Amino acid sequence: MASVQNSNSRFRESLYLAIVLLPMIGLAITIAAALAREGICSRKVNAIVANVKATAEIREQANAIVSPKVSSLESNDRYTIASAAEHLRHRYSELIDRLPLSAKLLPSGKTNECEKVLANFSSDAKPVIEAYQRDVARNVQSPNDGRFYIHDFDWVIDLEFRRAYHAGDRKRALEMLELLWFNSDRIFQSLENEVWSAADLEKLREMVVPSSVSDGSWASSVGNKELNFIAELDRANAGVVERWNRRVPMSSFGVAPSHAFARLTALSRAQEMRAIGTQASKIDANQIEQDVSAFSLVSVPFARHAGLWIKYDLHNLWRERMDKRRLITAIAIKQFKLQEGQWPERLDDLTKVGLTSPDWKIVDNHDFGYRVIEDGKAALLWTGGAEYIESPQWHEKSFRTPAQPPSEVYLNTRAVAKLESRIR
Amino acid sequence: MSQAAFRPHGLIWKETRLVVPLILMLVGAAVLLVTLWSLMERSSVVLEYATQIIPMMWPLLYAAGAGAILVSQERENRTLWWFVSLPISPQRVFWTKTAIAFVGLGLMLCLIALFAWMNGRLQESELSLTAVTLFVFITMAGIFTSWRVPNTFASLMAVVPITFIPILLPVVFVNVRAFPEYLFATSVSWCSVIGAAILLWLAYRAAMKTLLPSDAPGIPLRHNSDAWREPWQSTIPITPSLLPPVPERRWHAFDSSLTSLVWQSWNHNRLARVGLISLALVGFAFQLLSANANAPLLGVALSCCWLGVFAFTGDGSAKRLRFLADRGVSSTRVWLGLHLLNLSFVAITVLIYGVILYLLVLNPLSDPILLPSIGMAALVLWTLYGVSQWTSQLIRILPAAAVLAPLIGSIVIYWLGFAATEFGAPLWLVVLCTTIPFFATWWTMRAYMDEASQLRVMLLSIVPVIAMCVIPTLPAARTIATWPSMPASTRASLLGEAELVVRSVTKPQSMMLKGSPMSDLKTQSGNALFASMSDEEALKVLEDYSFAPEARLQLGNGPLDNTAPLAVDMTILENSLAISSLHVLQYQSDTTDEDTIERLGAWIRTLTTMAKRFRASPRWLDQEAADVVEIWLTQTLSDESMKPIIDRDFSKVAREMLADSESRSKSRRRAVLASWHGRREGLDGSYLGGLHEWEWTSSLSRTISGYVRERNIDAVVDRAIRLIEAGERGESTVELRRELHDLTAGPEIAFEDGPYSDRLRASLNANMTISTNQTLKYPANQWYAGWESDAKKLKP
Repeated sequence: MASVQNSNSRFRESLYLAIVLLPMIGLAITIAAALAREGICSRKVNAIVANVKATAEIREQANAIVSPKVSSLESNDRYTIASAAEHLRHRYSELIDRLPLSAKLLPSGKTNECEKVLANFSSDAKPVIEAYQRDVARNVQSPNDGRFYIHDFDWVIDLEFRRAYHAGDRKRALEMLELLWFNSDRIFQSLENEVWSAADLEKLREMVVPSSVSDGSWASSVGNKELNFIAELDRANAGVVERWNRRVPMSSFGVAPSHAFARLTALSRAQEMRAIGTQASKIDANQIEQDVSAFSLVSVPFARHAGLWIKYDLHNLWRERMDKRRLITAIAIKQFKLQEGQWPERLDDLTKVGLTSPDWKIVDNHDFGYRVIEDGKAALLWTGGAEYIESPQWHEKSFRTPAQPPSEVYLNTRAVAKLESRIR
Repeated sequence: MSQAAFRPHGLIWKETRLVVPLILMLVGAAVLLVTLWSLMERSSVVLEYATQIIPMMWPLLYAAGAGAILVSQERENRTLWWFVSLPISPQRVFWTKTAIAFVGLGLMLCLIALFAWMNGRLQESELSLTAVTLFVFITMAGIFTSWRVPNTFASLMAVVPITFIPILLPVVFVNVRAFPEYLFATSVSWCSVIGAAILLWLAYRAAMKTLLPSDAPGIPLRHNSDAWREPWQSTIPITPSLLPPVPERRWHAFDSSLTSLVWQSWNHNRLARVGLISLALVGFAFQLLSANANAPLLGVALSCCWLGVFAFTGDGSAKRLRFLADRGVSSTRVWLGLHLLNLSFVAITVLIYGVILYLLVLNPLSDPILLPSIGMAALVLWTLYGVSQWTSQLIRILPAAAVLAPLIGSIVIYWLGFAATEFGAPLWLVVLCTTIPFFATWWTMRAYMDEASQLRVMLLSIVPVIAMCVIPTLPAARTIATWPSMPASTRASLLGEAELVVRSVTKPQSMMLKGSPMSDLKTQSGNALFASMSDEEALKVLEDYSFAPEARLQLGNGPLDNTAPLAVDMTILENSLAISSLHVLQYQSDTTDEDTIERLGAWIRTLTTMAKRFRASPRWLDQEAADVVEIWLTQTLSDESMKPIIDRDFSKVAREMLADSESRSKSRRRAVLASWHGRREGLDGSYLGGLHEWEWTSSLSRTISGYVRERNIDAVVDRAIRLIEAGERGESTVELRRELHDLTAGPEIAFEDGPYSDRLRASLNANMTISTNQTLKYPANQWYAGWESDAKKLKP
């Protein structure tokens, strides 16, 4: 009997020991599995990184990103153009700001007090613009057809466009619009006045980048994220201390290979995403970010959302795409007016000027807002249909042609005061 | 001894002696913490935060532990029962202990006020009326629980939930009754005061119940007709049937197997363990509810710390261990038996945390701040447990160990984190260090079980303490020891040469802009002058503004073409090159316009003067600036479009200067040595001849960077001098540039992509150029590049 009691007690004690050991074994297996996965992921990440870096074109981009300390990599000629543009801006910006030529367009025929200054500017800027055009012609095979973006140079081009627009020099104005890096807003504004001929409008339509480029820019945006991340990996692996990096869960221990793998895989999935800028793509993006977050909860030092930020990029692209469509639609409305002698009743009428419905349908199959007003004297187009309003400020991007004078579009407060005093 | 004969100061003396060790340990730990942080963390913000927050831990921890050390410890040591047998009124005992607890608290508050005053931060410190009342409340809670709860550990744990009452009540008011939020602090104070008063009354009742004599237990005989008699006077023979039933117990042979030890641990004070697990679970519940906060995890961390404390100083643990030691049980087996159960609880905690983390991170609606991953949580809790069990083996007073363990645990976590981020300690080394506390307790286990003197156990622990301090610093020590420097012989010879050089150098003059359209039209108070002008006047001023060099620049004292050394201003240099670039383009657009040629010529002449004066400067940075100007001149004058004006005076002067490579090398060597000398003598502040040398080691941690900076400078100077010598001899400079890359651009960029690579070396054939800003950042990156050969070809 005693032996039976002893064995009972022994059994109970062993059970206690088993219960005690169970969570420890569970945790040990979790950590061991995570470590094993780190080893596997490490090899996979190395393969992906080697593959990305091996691509010659990307290699150059990667270098530019990997080398944050060497940011201005340009040819000697471009350096000269950039320097000259910088000086022109420095020289003329104060002058231009001083004059009643606001950031908006001054339509042809309106009094311009700064014509002399603008003429000086045009003369100074001419060789710089020509040098730029020569450089573009030499490098036409390069990305962006040889064009390169310089902040100050864009300012120079913009000012030259505004001068030519006001002077009624349509050819020069069109040339400048072609050179202008961010030209959408300027094209849109230029439509508010009766300036362009039918041929000009046709050319403007060609200038507006078709929507398929948005998908290209998405690929480029995601590609840049990939390159940036690889650069961060390189720096972390080289032992560089990232003191303020909160976006990537790295520490001095480096980036966990599992996290790197999850992130690179997620970016690859993002690359393949279809229907960019639609509600469906937002849902896809959510799923991708969740998956990458859950992948390395054991081995990264700190866990949080993956922080791919692709949702924000999607939103920006979505707006960019809408802006492009809005612009194409606005040009088509002007073409219709020139062709038919009246405003189109509905956007469907734009098929007569070669527009197809996807061009005026914003994402998820919603139309822009469009209305003929003032008994057919004017037309109003605005972003965001009545049923598709996410934020009220979009209405501010409305387009009205012809513009209503006097308007803040081309007159500042001081100019209005001057105008009033003249009237008196 | 009568009540009257009792002297009260004896009692006060005795109680004071109980409290003093706690105060000393807390002050010692806090001073250690502040000292360590001030040594380790160079960021003043963190240090300010540390000096502000850490002192507040003294009274907080004291308040939590005072009751336990005054009452519970005496109860555990059974001195309280001896004390009760003395002719001292229980009321006097209670009030004396309470008074001493508050005197200690007052002393702690005075200490932190003194500390804040010494730091000049008395006004900004966290020592507010609310904090003081809260400390009073917590002290009272500690006194109450220690009288009320017989078990020391349980009484300590009971303090935790009571502490939150005066904070939670106002929260409820604010949320439920729309209580004004600005009254929150006042409400906490009032709740603390009222709560302390209530607790005082409850503690008094509990103390009286403990201290006053209770009825003696009698033998409850059954069917006892003469129970009034003493047992030996009983007329009725006492038979077993008359005695109360004795529960039947099964006695087994003593078993010391691991399974038995674990089973014993399980059954040893189950209430305390349940309390600790509850503490962790409450922490998790708050974590899940609040989602964004890390603070509830402190409850989890505290429970792991106290589990560690419970291993060695738990209720009667020491006696249990002595019992096992007397029976020759293996110390390793006992050690395992003590820890297995606790570590199992730690593992469960981590697994629960993993589930919560999964829910939080994957919740698309939440945007949590950084949360420790499962691995990190396991490492932190394992470390806290390890340090706490070590603390409890070294400090045998339970309340003191319970109070100090979380503090020491935090210090160790900080130290290891600091080692990982600042010393570059790899993960495996950090993990290795976390096992040291376990190794330490295992090593001293036999001595502890034998109840050897505390001093001996402490002495044995010195080795692991040293290991804990030294091992994490090894990677940093290796990096620092192997960092390149300058050979001693080179240093001696270069120092001699530098001494000679500095005797002949002149301090460079500053370059300035004479004015700009913006500054000319504005007064100091804004743009009043500008605004007061009419449009026509303003236009006239602006249009007439000259961008000729003499109108724009003031190069030191006197005219532009003097020869005094010049110190570069990066913005002015870039502006000058920008204007010159515009003139080049204007000239290229019409090569016959004499006005354009004249304007360009004026700028080429000025740039030539600038370069010469930069070369005359003893600052290294100015040599780099001279390179930038000379590269621009070489590229401009070598252009095909410049042929019609290549023989003009301004071109000739520039070409002569560009072709003189010998002077260039001499100037560079002189400037490098003078800059180095100036740095060693502390004449150039934290610069090296105007160069931002601290950026070169910015990819290292602040600590390592602090140690290697001066050696790095020596190494850069050494390589630069050798580069000049190799360049003069026409030898390859690749290897020296590679070394310079490692010393200044660090591992952040590959050499092939970096500023010293061939593709960024300026020449006429180069299809890329490095910006002025970058050229000035990396010393000697354009020395003896292709542009110098191109410049030689321009010799008139």
